[in-house]
Amino acid sequence: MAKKSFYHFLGCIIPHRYPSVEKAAKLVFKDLGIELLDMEGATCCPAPGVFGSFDRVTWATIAARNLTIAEAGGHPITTGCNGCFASLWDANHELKHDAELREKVNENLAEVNREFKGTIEVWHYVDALYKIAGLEKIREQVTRPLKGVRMALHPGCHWMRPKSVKQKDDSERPHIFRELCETSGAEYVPYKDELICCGAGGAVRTADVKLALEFTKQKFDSLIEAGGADMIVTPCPFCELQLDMGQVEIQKYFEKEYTFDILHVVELLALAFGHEPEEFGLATHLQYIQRKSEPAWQRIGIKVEES
Amino acid sequence: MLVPHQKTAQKVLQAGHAVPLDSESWQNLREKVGLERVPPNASRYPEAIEELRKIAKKTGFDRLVAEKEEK
Repeated sequence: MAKKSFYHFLGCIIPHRYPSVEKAAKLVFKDLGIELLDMEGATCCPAPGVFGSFDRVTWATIAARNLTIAEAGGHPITTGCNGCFASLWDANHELKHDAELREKVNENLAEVNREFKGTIEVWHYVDALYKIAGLEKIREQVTRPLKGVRMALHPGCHWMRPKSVKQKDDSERPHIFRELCETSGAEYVPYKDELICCGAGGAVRTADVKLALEFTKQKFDSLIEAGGADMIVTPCPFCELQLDMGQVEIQKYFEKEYTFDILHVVELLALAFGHEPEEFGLATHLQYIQRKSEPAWQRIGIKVEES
Repeated sequence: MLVPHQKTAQKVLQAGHAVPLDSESWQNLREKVGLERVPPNASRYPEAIEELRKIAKKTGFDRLVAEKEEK
């Protein structure tokens, strides 16, 4: 079987704030025999909350410009960001089903000598890992099973919603993200508010960070009420930023201290595949930089040499 | 339109990204994890930003998110 290749849509937060996710994705996809190609000249997806609310045609045109880069190369796109996935997948879907929108978008794209043709698909990392690699192959790569690590999940909003359009998973009773994370050997910990928003999305964080943090705090309190966890795993860097940096901000706004380690799903898998945290820079997450701290290594399943 | 949202839209037209690679410390962070200092997106290709500006001019989005003069 020919090697599967994807154009790697980085977005903004992964390459510019959480590069450990970009590096971990490269390690994990390579281990699984899936090629990630640079998407040269890709821009912001654009941010679905802001652009999608202001002007649908501009939002769709900028998203379509990104899609044309992949169309030219003839490979699908994969992204590790729920927000980027929302813009790119939704625009691709709408442009394939709405002739009037497609005509307007292509008029705009003609200004930059581009044309949306509708020839490729957009995949979230979660889709690509679950459907292309498959759970069996992923389990075969696990050399450091995270046995005994209690793992809470934050699936986020946009990958599987709206359910009737995206048809990815049951958004009220999701199982795909959980099954993918469980291949790491970590133990899934349910909590009541697992499926609520992290607080950042829908341009809420941009408008009112304190309000956004109230959502985050509610999630953390719900998890603590359920007995706590050793880590929280998410498939989105904006959620990761909100849950990770958000802990520093909550301390400032609400004088309450939380110390959860937050991992993107590809960081979780990189650890489970036996990569050392230094290989992808797990300790560069913004909460650790701000707090001058480091991950709770033993709690997240990493043996630390006694000095 | 809230000012923070307006600023986000303006940032995309200026830098190609809502969250840009706007300081050396972010490039250092990339280098620290073993990546090239500047990723292969609009941060490296200014012509991509120019394309966004042309699109925004054509759709009128640049005027929609421009600073409004006080009357």
